[in-house]
Amino acid sequence: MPAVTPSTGKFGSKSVVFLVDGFNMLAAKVQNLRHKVTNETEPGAGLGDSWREHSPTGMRSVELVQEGAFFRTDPGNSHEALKDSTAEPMDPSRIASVGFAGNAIGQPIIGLEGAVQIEYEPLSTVGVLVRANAACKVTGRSESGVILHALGAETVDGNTEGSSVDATTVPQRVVPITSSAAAGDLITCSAPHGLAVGDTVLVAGHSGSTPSINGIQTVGTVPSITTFTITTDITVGGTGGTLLRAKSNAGGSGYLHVTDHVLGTWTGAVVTLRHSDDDTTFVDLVAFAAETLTRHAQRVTVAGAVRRYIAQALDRTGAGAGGSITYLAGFARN
Amino acid sequence: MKGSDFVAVEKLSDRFGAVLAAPGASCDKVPESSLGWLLRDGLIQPKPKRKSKDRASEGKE
Repeated sequence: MPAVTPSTGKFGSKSVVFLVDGFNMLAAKVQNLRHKVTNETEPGAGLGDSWREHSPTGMRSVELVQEGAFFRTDPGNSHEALKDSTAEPMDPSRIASVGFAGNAIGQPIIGLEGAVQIEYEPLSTVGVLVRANAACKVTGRSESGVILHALGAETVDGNTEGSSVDATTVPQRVVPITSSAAAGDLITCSAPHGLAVGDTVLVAGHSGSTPSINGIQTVGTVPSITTFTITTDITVGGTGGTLLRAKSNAGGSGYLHVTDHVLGTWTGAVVTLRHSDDDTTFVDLVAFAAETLTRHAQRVTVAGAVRRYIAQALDRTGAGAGGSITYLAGFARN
Repeated sequence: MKGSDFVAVEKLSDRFGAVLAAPGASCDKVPESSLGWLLRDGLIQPKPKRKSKDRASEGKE
């Protein structure tokens, strides 16, 4: 399983993945790259108030920006996708995926789907490059996920189940455990745990309990936001440690960006996301529609269980030969 | 528990992509260590038990 390293100070512009509807939107020499989520407010001041007040609306918006960058004008690259969008400010729903920490399996990626308003300001032209500011304002949600197939070409069918992504090794909130108790097999945390019945968690560093609850535990009930019970029978309580969510039961979204596709004599290509509780036996999680286009993107949502280990598989359809498909696949848990 | 006691509800594959059992097929190739979570989550189910000869003959009488 790939280990994810902290990104601070380790990644630069070469580590960025920036895809919109299968177009590689990453510009060269980006001066500033921004993923900005804004909690929107509305004026709350009234007559008699001497200071402006703003009340949260509960709504959020998301924006992706590349500033002062050089955009390539060759087919399939950013300028082609951006220049025509200005004629229609609110394009139909688009799918975007952006990664800041490297184009590799297990690295974090941000997925977005929604109407995208693109602001594109060409500044100057140098050969095949156009220097411009480009901002994508998305009317839709932003989701945090992981890369399951790094953007790259495949010429033969295969899968990444041998290098599956373990949910407990990707960046997520670490929840401190205060104590475990024999009464009710209750675990108490010092912060909201965000767990649901049927989730599994990886407990580490907990001491004093009988039996030891370190390792994978299944959530039985959730009495409160800081407590939950496990299906293991605790006879003596313990203290301390942390937990990470392993299996979740709230579904998620699969992302697929095909940036180049030469069919050869095949009739299509099917990418499937697969998951497993034990990294030994896998079942389907997300089945994307068969891809036949040169450039395309899909976002497919699933409900229910998302198991600890996730991988992807590529199967071309028909009896063919030759061809290649360049794609990125990822998954964001809810 | 043995894999041969179960049939797959969904396609099961190993971590190298080889199909262990297609939907409806016997789970002979599924590792025993995986049977617990697959059964718990409804991804496999016990094979229907065949009627014993005695019960079958009782039914004919």
